[in-house]
Amino acid sequence: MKTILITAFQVVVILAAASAVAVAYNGVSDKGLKWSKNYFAKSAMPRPPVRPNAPSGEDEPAIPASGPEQSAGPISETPKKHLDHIFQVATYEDVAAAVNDPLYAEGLYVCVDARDDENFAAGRIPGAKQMFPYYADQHLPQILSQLQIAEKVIVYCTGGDCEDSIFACRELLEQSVPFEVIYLYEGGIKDWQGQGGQVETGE
Amino acid sequence: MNDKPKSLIARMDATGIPLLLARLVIAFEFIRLGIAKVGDPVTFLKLMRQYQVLPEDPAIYMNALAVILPWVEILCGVALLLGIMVRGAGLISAGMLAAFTPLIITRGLELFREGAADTLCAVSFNCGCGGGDVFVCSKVAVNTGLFLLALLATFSRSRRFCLVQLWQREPTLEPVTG
Repeated sequence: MKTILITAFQVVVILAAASAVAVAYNGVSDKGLKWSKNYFAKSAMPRPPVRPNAPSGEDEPAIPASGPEQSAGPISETPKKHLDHIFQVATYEDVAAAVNDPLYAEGLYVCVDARDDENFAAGRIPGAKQMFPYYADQHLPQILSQLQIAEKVIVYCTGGDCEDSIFACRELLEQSVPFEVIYLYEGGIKDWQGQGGQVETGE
Repeated sequence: MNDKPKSLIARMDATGIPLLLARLVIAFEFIRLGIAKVGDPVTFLKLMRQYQVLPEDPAIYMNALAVILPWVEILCGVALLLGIMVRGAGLISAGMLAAFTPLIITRGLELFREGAADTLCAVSFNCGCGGGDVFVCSKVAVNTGLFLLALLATFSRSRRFCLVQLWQREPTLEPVTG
């Protein structure tokens, strides 16, 4: 019985010590997590505005048809989504057109890279701004004012099943970047490079 | 005086060598993997999510686990390395391995059914263990070995080569009174 009690005491001590160290380290680390933030919340995603002429009761997202007459930019057609999200989708051609548009150099079209430091430095769409959604507080202050007035914000991550770009879009929406200007490049950097897009490296 | 003849296992245990080896192996693995997770909590959080064991909302459960679990691993590793609180550290280690290994198998089976590979053993994925992509079978084999070593650390009566001897004046063999 004594051995069991001693073992139980040791378990409690180790777990308590680990919790204390973890809380302290998480508090001082620049990579610390926010305890109560739902980093994966899709259900909590803000709803986009409802179409003014939508029948009552319908609350589907007002995703623009993104034809030339509705969207100031090269997003020609709404491609089919393969991830579960509410955002407009951009293809490689759309992104390439945006990057080559003079408005990109002016900062009115912006690419946002939703990957971590290592991947961002390894290769990104030229001129892309980093906004890793898990550390949005660290990246947003430098770019938020630009994004809030941008005419097109194209967000991407690795591609495939990567959802970080969706979380980044949600973060931008929460930071008052208009839904209408946010586009999700689902193909991500893999598609960009696979189709011959140039990349920029370094921090 | 105990006249009862000791079994081979008890005599081996009394040398302290099996426990020392078990402690060193578990400590090395847990400290290495724990440090990898502590250095990148976001990746660990994302990888934990794939198991769908904890609810995403409220998020505090998953976030807390992602923050605390690596430190539990590290502290268990340090305790085993130093030879203090060996039973407790061994028990926690065994518990963690017993909890996570079935999850790795389950996730591996899911990926196998999705056509990730021709055989279950050929399925490779990042299990969130801290070492990057692993093959399911080899990871399960490693974890099973670690689990057995953790049990050894938990139930060994020897305290040879343990730091705890220095200040507790413990006998080399702990009396089993439980």
